[in-house]
Amino acid sequence: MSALLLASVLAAHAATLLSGTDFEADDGGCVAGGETAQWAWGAVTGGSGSAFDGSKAWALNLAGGYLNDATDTLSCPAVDVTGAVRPVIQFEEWYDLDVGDYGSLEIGDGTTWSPVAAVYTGPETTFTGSSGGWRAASVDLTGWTGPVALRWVMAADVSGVGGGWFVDDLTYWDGDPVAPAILALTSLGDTDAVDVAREVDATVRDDVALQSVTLRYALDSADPVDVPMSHASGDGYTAEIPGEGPGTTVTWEVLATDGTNVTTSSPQTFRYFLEAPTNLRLDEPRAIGPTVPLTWDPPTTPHVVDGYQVSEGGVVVARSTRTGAQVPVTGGDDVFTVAAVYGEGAGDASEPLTVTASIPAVNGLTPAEGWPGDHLHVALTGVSLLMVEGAVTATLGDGVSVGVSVRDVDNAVLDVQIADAAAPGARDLVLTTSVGNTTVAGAFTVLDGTDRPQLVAADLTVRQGEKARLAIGYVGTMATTSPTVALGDGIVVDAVSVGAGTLQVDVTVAGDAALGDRTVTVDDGVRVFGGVTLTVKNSTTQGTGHTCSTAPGDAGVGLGILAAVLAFRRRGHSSKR
Amino acid sequence: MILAPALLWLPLGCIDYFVDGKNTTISTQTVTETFTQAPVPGVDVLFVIDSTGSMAEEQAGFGAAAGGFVASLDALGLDYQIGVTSMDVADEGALLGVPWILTPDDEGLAADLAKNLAVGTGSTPPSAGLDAAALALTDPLGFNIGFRRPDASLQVVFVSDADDDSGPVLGADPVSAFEAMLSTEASGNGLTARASAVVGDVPGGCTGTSGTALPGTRYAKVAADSGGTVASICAGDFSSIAAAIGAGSADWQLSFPLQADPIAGSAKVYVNTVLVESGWVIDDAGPALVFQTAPPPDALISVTYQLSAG
Repeated sequence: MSALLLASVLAAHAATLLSGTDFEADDGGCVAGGETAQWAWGAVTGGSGSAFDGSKAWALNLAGGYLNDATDTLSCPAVDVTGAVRPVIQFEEWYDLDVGDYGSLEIGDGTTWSPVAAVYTGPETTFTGSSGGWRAASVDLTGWTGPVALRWVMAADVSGVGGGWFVDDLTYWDGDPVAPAILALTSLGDTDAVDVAREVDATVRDDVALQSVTLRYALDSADPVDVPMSHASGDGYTAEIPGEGPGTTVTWEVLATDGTNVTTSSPQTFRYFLEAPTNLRLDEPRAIGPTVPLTWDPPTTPHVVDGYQVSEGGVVVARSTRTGAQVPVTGGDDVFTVAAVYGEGAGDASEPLTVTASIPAVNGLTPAEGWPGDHLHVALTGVSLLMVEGAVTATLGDGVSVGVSVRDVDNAVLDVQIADAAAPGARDLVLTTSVGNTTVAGAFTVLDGTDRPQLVAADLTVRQGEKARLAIGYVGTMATTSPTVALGDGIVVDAVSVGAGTLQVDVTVAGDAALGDRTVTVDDGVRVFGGVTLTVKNSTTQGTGHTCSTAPGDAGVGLGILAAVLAFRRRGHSSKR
Repeated sequence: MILAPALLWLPLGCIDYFVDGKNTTISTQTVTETFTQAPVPGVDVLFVIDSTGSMAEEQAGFGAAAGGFVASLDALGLDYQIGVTSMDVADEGALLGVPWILTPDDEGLAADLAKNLAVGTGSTPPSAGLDAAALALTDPLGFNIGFRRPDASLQVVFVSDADDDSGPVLGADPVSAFEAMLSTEASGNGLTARASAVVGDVPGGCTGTSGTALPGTRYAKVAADSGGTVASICAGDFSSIAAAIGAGSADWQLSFPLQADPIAGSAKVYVNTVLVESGWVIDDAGPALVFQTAPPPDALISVTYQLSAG
């Protein structure tokens, strides 16, 4: 409350108090009467929920409600107002009456009663409905001399009950304790009519005489400005709030004074604004970064939209002249708004849109280097890559061919073959998936030198039909103890043993294995070793002995004969001799 | 079931013989058959979770079992992808959560799965799990790119305390339509496509600590017909159910058919060239080599045995 207003209120109560009670210490000498004498004094427990001040008051029922089909009265002792220039009775009341139930006030000498209207509510002397909370009521006793008493009369019909009627703080005054009443007031909502003044109309009345009516408004957090309201006609007063630019918030109220008492309307607030775009949304089923497409609907406005700006946390992250933009995302919860940009200024921000995006990323390649001539199985791992078999490509630059075998959405094996002439140096990985391109600078290195792990050339010879143990040398590191050794058709690898620099490979050579040289490859899951050949020669054609499948040794014969003995053919199987 | 191709049936010499260029005498024969275990089997697991108001405790309970489910898949060495959608067709079958496709390499996988399984309880009954699953698998709006892999089997897990009320997507007979969809999924890659159901007991429903569940008749039928797991949603602890579903998601080959009956005691088994002396039997009825525990992915399996030449 402002100091001025406080002083005004004190001045209002400076009217001379003739008599009064707050009904805390006693019942004020008031008496319940009527058909059921249901008025009661005491602590309020229902209805209004509390007394106007303190804890006690008079009520039809202190717990709320009242009796149906009854007319009851509350009469308080008369007060002698002889000599008073302008006697006034005031009290606080709270009521909530059902349809068909009526309250009224009467004044009299304690024996004879006459209906009377409260100040500002006449000429009707009865009322129903709700008071809208605790409020002051006044009865003007001008012209009355001698003792005068006030009586509350409640007439309830046969059905339906409201919250009740509560009375507190009964006072008798000489003077003008009654503040002006603002009976009607303009309601101003937000407006897109920027820079256009708003008219405020008020209907104000005082029981004696108004001194002034003032419009007080403040722009945003600036100091308030007072504008005298012009008297229009009757009880009407008018003034204007000047037009302001978009985004301005105006808080305003009306103050009316009779010179002694001040009434202030409840503060109202409105904004000058320019419409915001609507329906801000993600333009794809999924939010997959590093940028995502947002779209929105244009605002419905008579103003010309010059463009849009998308913001996150108050920072503009994208501008567009159309109803869509590509915006960057962090991978966490990004909260975006979009505003239209008008010639008059920036419009309101849209409803926020929270985007929880996934950011595709390649975690790395393993191994991440290789020599010219290498053939590698490179594991690619990542997040949010959404890789789909057959729809993924990868490149590592000139001289390096890359095939992709997808394991799952985030994992794949790259079949990397580095040409002998590939230039050494770091290579960028460019991975193209359903979510676009992901580039990792320097993800792979083509090494410089001649240290490529490979098999060591040796005289590797076997004969048709024999079981043999081959010693295949290699340089480098074998990534597994059980590499896959491929020797071509007609030679079965029975066992492989990895030693330091040498593989022992037990093989069985079919009797009809093709003669001549063939390429030997050893795949340890990471690298395909090559570089040597194996020669198959003719079988021995005469001799005796014993050969067994678990004991590699010299050639056995007669293997071809078994094919004539055994002729098994079953689904899903192939056979070789 | 994946039928690992037998790369070689090779009658080799383990033979007493005499060759003089004119006559050959054979008394016994040794045969080697070779197989290759399938690669790491891929399985795509789709959870379809009831998102109506009565499901809060069940979602929390299943989320608490997420770690056990993941562990069961990991124990099998499966290459899996997991997605979760709701039974509310308004979600269009979109996989929910971020990330919406979970893989074994995801950090905090169990926590992410638990989070994704909590699809919310804001949907209005009835729920339509079969319709929702069909939308998720057909993905008409492109929400789920990458979830279904051409070389992976499929496991659809329905979790609900009421029965299915599908129709708008799958038509008047949603059970048959969804089973046909599973068959199509399976025939597309030769792998399995099955459903599991964690629902109210059939036919009487059930009451558990989290409330009463109506019988999940449709879900249970789809699960039973496809060879999946059927379990009660009234079970207080979902960990064993989750583990069973996880275990039932694998397609490992344990039995490898042989082309001839080995002489008793003559068989020697090698896995990746290493002699394995136990953990397998020769089933004469097949005949077949049957492992107690599946050989690892891509394993080279050789069995050498003797048989009579007569």
